Amino acid sequence: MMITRRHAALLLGAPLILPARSFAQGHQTATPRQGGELLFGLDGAAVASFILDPHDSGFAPHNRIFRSIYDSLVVLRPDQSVGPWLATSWEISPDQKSYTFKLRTDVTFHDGTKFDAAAVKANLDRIGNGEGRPLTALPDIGSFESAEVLAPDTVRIKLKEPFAPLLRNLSKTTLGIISPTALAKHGAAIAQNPVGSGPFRFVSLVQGVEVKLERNPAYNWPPAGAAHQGPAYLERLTFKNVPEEATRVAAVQSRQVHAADGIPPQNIVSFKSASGFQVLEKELLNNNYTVYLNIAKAPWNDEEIRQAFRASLDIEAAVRVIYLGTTPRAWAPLSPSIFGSADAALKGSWRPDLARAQQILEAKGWKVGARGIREKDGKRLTVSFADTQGNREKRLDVIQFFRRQLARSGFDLSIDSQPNATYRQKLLNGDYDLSGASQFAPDPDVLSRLHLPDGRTPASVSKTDDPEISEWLRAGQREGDSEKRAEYYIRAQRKLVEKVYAIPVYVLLYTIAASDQVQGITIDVHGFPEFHGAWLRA
Amino acid sequence: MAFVLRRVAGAALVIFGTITLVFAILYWLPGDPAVLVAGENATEESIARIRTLLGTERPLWEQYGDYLAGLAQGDLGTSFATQEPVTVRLWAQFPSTLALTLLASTVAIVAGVVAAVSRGRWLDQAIQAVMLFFTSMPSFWLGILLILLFSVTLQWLPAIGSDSFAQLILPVSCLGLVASGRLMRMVRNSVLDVLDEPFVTTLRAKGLVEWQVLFRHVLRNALIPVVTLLGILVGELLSGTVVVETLFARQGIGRLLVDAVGVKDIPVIQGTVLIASISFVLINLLVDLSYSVIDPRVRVDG
Repeated sequence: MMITRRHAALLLGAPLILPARSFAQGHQTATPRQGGELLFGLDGAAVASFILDPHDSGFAPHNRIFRSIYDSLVVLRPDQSVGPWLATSWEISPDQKSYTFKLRTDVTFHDGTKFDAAAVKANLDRIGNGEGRPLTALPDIGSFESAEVLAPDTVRIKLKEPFAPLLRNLSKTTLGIISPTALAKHGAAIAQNPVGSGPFRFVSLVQGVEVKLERNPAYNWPPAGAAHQGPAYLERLTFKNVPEEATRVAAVQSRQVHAADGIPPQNIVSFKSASGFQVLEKELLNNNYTVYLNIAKAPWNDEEIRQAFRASLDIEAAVRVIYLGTTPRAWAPLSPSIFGSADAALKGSWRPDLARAQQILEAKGWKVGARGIREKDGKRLTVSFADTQGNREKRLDVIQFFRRQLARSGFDLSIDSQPNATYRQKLLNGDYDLSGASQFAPDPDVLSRLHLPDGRTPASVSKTDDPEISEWLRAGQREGDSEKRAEYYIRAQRKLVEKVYAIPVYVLLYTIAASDQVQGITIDVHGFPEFHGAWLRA
Repeated sequence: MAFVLRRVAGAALVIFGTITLVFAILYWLPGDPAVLVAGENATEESIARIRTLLGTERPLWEQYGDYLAGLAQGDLGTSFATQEPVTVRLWAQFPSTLALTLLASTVAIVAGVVAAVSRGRWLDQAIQAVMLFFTSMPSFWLGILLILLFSVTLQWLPAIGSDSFAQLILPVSCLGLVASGRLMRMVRNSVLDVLDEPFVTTLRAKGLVEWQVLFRHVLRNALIPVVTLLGILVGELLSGTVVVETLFARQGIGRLLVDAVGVKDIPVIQGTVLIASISFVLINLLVDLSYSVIDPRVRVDG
């Protein structure tokens, strides 16, 4: 076979030079075909092992698999309201400390166990009163006290304190419902032997490499608004972990996989214009990728120095250059679609101002020294960015970009890449200047985990300790009225940005590139892929 | 026989030394595995409980003693990260890496012999040029080029996976071309040296056909320096597999090790290092022993 010009262009990594064509229009009327195996390339750069225990992995690539295996009690609707799923209805007591759920009676888990109130209780008890180490999902159930079986189809969750985020959190993949029989049988090994009630059931896994699922023929309980009722169309669904993004893109282009996620910006652009391929995108409900300054430590304990740092940055330019217009820059900690996001309120709230940055640093006694780096009392204005994830989502490219911008005002920024163990130790010891993180979240309460001193996890990179913010975040957890809740969180976000406790960088869009053979993959409101309605054209 | 025994004892000592050294390094490296296992929401007390569970709070010598006692019974411990037995995790990954490494070495040896035999002709020059070109190229970059050409453009070969032989071709080419360039040159030079020996001329004069000369006499003599280098190269190839396994989304020991180091999964790191050092030592042992088989004049007794 000859290498044509088009191939040569591909070799050079240039966009495919072929006319664009819209698929959706051409095939909208086609009837879904039953059968076939869909191969999905998963962006698992840091997936060492597959932990298929929804209660125990907050890691996004794992959660992208959970939705196919596990169902939840409730579903988050496109308008951000909560709708029924495995629970048909619910009542919240006036003191907001007790939630009573009516459950579907026609649901069975993959192992034949019947779904009922006892199953819900087993799941919540496992997270809330677990014997072993605390599971990742623990903060999702807040002040959980107990779960009571009132009837086979009725379960009551009792809280110690009102915890308004609970209902929305119950729609999260991390609170997916596991078969109680399987939980008793496998214990922690449920992570390698997942049993849920979702549209696909587990077949096998090769650690770190692939997870094979097959259709659950009994599936008849998707939430209202799902692509269709009844079992999935696909006979089999296989997730292949492809850590390297160039390979992942190549696997889609060569049609070795039908679809893949985590597509880098330059390839999103080329897939969109290529014939035979399609791109799906949706905002991931997220605490945006945010840079945190360790405010417990000099020089960041001085708010003005933090202001100077941020005024040196042109986030707009960095995001535009690195993501090629495929993702918007962030203004608020919470991504725009989350209920209670301050994105609109904060748009344009600050601008890059090199002169002001320099002025502040001069006034604070930081004088320009060798190689343009500022010095004071023999100390250089050197700060390091602690990282353990490598260039995931091109985040280190962004930091490199910042590095050059910061050099103009006299900051010397270095990147300190460490293995996870060392990185975590540094965070615990507070031995870092700045770092960055994102966290998916359907509820604004995610801010409490990051910015409430007693709500933070040992791995948190934010050191915020502001009484006002703490008070608002606590009020947000207690407040039953949605409007008032949103107001608390918007206030907190405003102050987080105003005081430079957090520097939001970009809003992550979850992207999938797929060949035109694939139809019907959807992305749920959270931003996770769903394969219940997916099918392959003959 | 004494020679064999001495070599085996030496090999055991090397393995023992390696695991001891790695044990000490892991112990002193920063990062508490219990903190990582405990997860994000752990309290001090649950971390302490896990420390007891993992046994990482005990003194070094005690942990080391237990580890050796376990080893003696063939027990490599339990992975901190997935709680599976380490042996299970290793056996899931090892065959894939072994196939990759062995095939890559074979590619290099065959290329070396072919180049030597066609010395000075276009084939020799082509092989040498290609090898030189690829040896000076990062394997990561070469891998991407191979994927773009053979998977994306020509659509001849799969880019990812480790289930079939077809899925081996690209990674083996990548590893073989980059990491084995030295091996190929060594093979070529060694074969050339022997080809120039007077006894080869004698053999030819006696009327032996060229392939008989090559396979019965030349290769046998040329193999000694080659197997020596092969022993050294195994280590290099094993480390080369880390990049290749990641790029081609294969399973394997290399990736397992990198991942385990990242989360300080000590039993898995130990197990991986153990299996790598055993392979390394075994190959070198076989190399030593094979000297006397290849060339009976070699006696390393003295």
